[in-house]
Amino acid sequence: MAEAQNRQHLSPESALTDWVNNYSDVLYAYAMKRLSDEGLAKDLVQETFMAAFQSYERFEHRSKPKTWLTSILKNKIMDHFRQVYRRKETSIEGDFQMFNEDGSWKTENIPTPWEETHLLDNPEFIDVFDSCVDALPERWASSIRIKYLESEMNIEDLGVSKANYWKMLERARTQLRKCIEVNWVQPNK
Amino acid sequence: MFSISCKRASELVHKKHNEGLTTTEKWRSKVHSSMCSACKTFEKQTDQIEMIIKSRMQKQASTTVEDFKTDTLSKIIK
Repeated sequence: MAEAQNRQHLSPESALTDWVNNYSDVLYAYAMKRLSDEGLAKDLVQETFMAAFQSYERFEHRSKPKTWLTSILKNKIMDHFRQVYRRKETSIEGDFQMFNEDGSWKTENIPTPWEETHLLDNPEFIDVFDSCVDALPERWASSIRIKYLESEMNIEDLGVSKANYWKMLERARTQLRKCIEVNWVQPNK
Repeated sequence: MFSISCKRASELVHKKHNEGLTTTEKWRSKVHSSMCSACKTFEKQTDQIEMIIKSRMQKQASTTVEDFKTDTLSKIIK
């Protein structure tokens, strides 16, 4: 209690220093888990501290600083995804014409089997996989990141219908599979 | 009754990972894959990609944040 009262009388600068030292790790890990992008995660955590510093007077100490900071960060991550989805789609629809008119595979798109075991333990594969994710259009890459946030966010809050979101996921998976085939399966043949 | 095209089978593979399949769709997908090696490969690879995405996207931060703390404080408190 005394500690809580004492903290309430910290100057904004002292409080921020305290928070940066105590919560950077946990906030950065939170952002990384959702964004998988070190630069972006650091930017959003910095923006979180900046926002907290600027609105310090409004922080009424009813919740723990960590909870408050996390909620700010969560909103910033949501804002990031909203911005991504507002951007125009730049991909080419024709990339995904994998089938003939009768619904059979086009010869050049028939899936090539790849080694199926221990891929996650193969550093060469992981390098290729990460490069393929990085090469995805941002909206698609965000779609696959958001998938593991679904319990925390409503896709429709991002201004995207579920049908469109699933379509983006489909495209992202399809593009990833193709990228892996070209960059990992075929060079290893 | 269970006959579907490869295109439809691939759509069902994605639907499985998005909203899930109905019982009829599961059967259609299963019957098609049992007869079509290309679609069976496609389904295995898509399942695998989904598993890898999940694993990679949930990776923990690996870098130190000590420099980040100093940088943050210097930017905000001038």
